[in-house]
Amino acid sequence: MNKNASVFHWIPFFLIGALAFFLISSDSVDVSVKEKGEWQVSFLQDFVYQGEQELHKLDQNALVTARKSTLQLAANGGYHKDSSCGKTFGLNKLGLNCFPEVDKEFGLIFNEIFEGDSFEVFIEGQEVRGKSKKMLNVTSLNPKYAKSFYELQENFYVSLGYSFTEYETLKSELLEILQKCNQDSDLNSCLDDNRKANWKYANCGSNQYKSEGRTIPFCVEGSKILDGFGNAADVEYKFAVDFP
Amino acid sequence: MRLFKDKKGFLDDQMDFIFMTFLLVVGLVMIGGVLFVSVNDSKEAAIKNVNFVGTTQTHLYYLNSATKLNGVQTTMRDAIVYAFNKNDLALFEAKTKGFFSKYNLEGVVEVYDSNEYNQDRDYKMLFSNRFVSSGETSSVLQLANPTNNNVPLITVVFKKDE
Repeated sequence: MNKNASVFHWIPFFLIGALAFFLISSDSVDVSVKEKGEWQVSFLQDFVYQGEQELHKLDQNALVTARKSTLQLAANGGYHKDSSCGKTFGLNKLGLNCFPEVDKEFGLIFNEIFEGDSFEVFIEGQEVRGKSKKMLNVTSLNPKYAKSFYELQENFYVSLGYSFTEYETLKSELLEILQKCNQDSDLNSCLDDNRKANWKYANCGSNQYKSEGRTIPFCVEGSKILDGFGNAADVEYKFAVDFP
Repeated sequence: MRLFKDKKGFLDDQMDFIFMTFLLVVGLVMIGGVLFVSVNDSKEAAIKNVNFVGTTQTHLYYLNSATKLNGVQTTMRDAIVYAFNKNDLALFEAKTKGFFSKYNLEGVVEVYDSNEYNQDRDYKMLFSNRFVSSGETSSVLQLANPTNNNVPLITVVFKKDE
């Protein structure tokens, strides 16, 4: 074979060898371009969204507890335990000098019912906020971040679909009816003439007039709230009033 | 000058020149090919990440969106939990359809008992307004179900079309 022909004979083998070498070495050496935003997405996926999920669960539990607390608070005349004016018919008495601080009483009932940590509870209209001193630690199942953790404050923020401003309305209606029917000898007629349509006697269902001297039990129908099972339940304010 | 005159250039003949050029072209094509593939892969991965973040954000927004349940203002997650416990598929579909229509979305929402989801079993409730799927991104989140001791956790899978 002459020199020129031998070039054509050996070059293809050399080319194949070079190609094979290139493919093998490029497989073991990382020549790829890194994907953009890898760390950021991992952070969101492994920590932030896990944290959001934990907060969602907390919100759900807090919502169920807040609803139960609302119904219980109303049934107890706005008090956690007993009114400073005492009880009649097993109901807390409300009056000029005894009306509950709803924020404080609600917080007490809430923390009593809630299974878990205690919260500093705030009410703003329909919203209930809970602030905890405890931190929620979120760790990742991804072994790449085994030594990392993400901390966020274990607070909740829920909307009840019911407004606590109803207590202010209740207070003003109570003061109005006390002003009009205090001293009136025919208390029953006075109350019939001056009470609002949602003010029932004793029981919201029966509306039967009862009295112990001049102390009258009332059941005031409020707006609706969802109970623990998602059914609409009436908020019923149950209390007794002294008409001296 | 004398040095160059005696060497007649570095390449002996035209054949060497053609061969070198050919090798250079082939080498550059191979390197370019590898880089093109890796850049393409990187671009697809970045798009996938963006879609994942977008879908999860939409999912969270869906769960927190306002709706009415039995005449009372609440959030979608309440409605989902209620519909799941009452096995009310019609309610779930109506609420979810409202959300998808409002935001002009196409996709699927599946609701599972979390235990069954982990065992790869079937969903309990489904909504879909998808006609043809050209690609989707999924987001999986759990909801607490405090009033149901048999199913304390619900898994909601949200699939949005790309």
